[in-house]
Amino acid sequence: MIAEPAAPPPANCPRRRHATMEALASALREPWTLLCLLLLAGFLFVAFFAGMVAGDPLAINPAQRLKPPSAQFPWGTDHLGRDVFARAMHGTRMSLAVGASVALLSAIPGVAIGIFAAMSRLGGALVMRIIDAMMAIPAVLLAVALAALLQPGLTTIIIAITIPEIPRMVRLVRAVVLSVRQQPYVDAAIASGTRGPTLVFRHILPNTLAPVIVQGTYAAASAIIAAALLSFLGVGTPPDLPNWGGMMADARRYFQQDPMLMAYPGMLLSVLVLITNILGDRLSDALDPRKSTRKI
Amino acid sequence: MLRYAATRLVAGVPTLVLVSVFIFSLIHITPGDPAILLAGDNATPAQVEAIRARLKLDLPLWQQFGLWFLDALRLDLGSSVYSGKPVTELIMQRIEPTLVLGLTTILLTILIAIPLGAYAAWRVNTFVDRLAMGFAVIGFSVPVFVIGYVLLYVFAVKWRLFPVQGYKPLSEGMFAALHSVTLPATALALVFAALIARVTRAAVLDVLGENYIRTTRAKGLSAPRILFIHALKSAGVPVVTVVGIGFATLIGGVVVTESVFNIPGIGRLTVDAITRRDYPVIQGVILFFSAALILINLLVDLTYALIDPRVRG
Amino acid sequence: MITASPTLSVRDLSVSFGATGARLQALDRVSFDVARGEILALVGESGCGKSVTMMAILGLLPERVARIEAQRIQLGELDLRKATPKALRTVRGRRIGMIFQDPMTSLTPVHTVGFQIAEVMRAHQGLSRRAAQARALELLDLVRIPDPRRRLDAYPHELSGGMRQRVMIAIALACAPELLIADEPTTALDVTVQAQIMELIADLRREMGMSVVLITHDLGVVATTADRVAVMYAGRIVEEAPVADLFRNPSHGYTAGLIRSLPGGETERQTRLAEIPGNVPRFAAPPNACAFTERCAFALPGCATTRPPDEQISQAHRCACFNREAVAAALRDTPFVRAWV
Repeated sequence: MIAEPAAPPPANCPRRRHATMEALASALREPWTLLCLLLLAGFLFVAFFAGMVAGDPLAINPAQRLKPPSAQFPWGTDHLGRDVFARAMHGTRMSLAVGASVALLSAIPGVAIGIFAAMSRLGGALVMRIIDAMMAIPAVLLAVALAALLQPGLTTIIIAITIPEIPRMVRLVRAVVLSVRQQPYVDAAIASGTRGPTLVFRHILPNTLAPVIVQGTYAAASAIIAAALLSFLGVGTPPDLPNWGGMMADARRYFQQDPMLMAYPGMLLSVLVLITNILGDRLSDALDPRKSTRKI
Repeated sequence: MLRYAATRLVAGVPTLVLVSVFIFSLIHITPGDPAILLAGDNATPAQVEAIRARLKLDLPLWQQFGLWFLDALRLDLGSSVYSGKPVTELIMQRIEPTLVLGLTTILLTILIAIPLGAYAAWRVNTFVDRLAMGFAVIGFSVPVFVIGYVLLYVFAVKWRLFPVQGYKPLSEGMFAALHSVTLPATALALVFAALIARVTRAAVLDVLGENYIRTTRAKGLSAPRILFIHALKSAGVPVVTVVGIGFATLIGGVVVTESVFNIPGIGRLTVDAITRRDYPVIQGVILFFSAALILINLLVDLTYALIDPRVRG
Repeated sequence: MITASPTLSVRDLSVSFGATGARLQALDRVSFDVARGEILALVGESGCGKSVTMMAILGLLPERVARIEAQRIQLGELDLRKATPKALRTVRGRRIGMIFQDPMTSLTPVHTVGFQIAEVMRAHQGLSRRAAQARALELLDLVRIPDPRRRLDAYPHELSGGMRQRVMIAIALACAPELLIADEPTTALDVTVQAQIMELIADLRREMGMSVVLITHDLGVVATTADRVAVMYAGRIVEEAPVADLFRNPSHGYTAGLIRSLPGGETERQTRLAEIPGNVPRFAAPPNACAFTERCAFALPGCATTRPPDEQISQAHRCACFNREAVAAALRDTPFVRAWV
């Protein structure tokens, strides 16, 4: 159409990796991205050093039930007299652990199965049938059912959230691989005798990396929500593991008198998910320049 | 068109069979003996055996599945271990609030999300666009139960405009029912709308760069006509796809929301069954939701054909 | 050829894009007239500003990035520079019809052909649905689509490229405009279909008495269809003449290059078509030079430092070239030029 007055034409296309790094670097210079990264670093710091920045999250103190904020308890105490601030800080651990684990654990089988589904005609059709069926079960229900059926614990929560997450990853990877396979350079590689593992590792796998990283970030965000939800519903979480969903569940009974009990964990949870999603958007923009660049 | 519908319907059958295999194996392959769990800590071996026999847990696994599956085909999903009532009956008793909540949510979502997304695309990179997309990111980042409590606090506790909890059935009047689901439906719709507004924006943005939009401008059509009659309809397929995918999220959201707002729907039934380890109910409800989802995806496929003549083939 | 009241009259139209600091000049003082009932061809390589010219006239350039300046953009009695967006909208589709290069993608895929034709008349002439459909049927007949009644309910993907371009023409002509802008109307079509479409445009021009601006890069099409030619290079009109004059007496180095690169040009032994060396600059050259200097076979030392002024060679032939005598002399005896004179 009309000559767009956009960026100058790529001068003899620099190597792709270089361009990617440049895009990431320029994304890093944006104030919103920086703010999100700083906040994420803050959450990580709290997760690692929760024991140092806050008190004991498990100590019960019946004499100090539902107390307002004080010097000893900055965010007050809950219905068992536990330190809300300490519980909220320690709760960061579970959210971050679940987010990171689910992203990683769904990506590995997701990529493997996705590549297989795209490369093998018959096996691929079969796998996709199974994937379709898995996706027909609402993810939250599947996670809740799995978490309820296994022994409560962090591992259970991670497994319960990872399993419904895998099909999404498989679909994404398969779609990417199918489109990569259409590319002339893959035809050229096949024509010049590249087969099997070399083809996959040299030409196919690297192309899946960017979309998988982006999807992994979104998966982490939704896993953090899912974990909070499981604890909120009271399935899968052991009582001695402080977490935001559980805190909100505890606060339900006292919601009308003391809404802050609910607000603290709810706010932390929302902020963590929000920055993860924004970082996912930024990554997606940086890794796929064709997508519209957008600022919030 | 009819043949297209028929092929899509037939394609849904094997999916549903696979889903039921999953749901069945979910409960029977996970470690732990359901009979022991159900009988409780103080049960005698005889009581455990009785439960095992009642649930046909003593049969080989494939026979158990066969029996369950054949029953399911006759809409017999077994009976609740807890109340002894047939699962189908429990679902039917609870279906109304869930349907009212779900439909209100979908209506609200479509009314908010699609115009918002389309308008943001039209005014891309302006303040309006950034505001709308900022809202969208926040919308699907804040968990539905957090939004639910915020709405509860503001509109029910502080301003007392809506009931804090509970559901008024349709038999008490349309208004009463809608009034009682306004807050939960809004909470759900905010999450759902965020997703759909984003996709609508992206899809419409893609379409706005197409040559045929240039044609509509050269024809001297008005902006709303270009945006809604040409761009939005052309962008319909990806939007409808995401509405379809979003339903899975929506069902998850319904379960949680019913819990937050204490609405006696199928979502509550599910959560109660899970906390009581009421296996027949868990299986039945998940199967019910999955079948609903497959049906919705079928409708989505049919909508493609309505929107895009190229799909009809 | 230029009559007292042209259909379209443009004087010193300049368009630039981008932010204030780094503005890129896309059009540099473009002037031309389109007389009633004539076909004016705008010729040039892609990127020379042909389409931008027409988009600017129609108010279709993105407002936020394009800055448009002009002494005059006059459509009949209407000053398009001062027209409100709403007034421009009624000009488009009603008084100026437009067809584009790629008929495969220029029709909305989700609406029927009949709907898309009828829509223009409903928007501009307030016709009822039924009346507009009836007119759409007549228009399909007018653009010689066989079995028009059946095509009315067809979707674009059910029609061939040539058919779709005919539909585009029907849309452009629906409100009987006084000017038709055809932007590379045949580039994407098969050679046989190209000839049919050009013939159709020429016939309809005669039947409906409208003016046509034909944007093309194909001098062959120009020779067979147009009345007058304006040759554009890098955002400027470098030569303008009646078709016969241009081929008989090409006077700009760039025009010469275009003519030489036609098949049948130069000698018959030649196996390879002549080409113009180098590439089109993305945007107009510095104001104090002829933009074509670097690629020009006839360049003089002054070409790089002074912009050649527009000079009138004859009443209807103007050209901006310092060395036009040499150009004309060099081209006078080539076989292609002889064939067309």
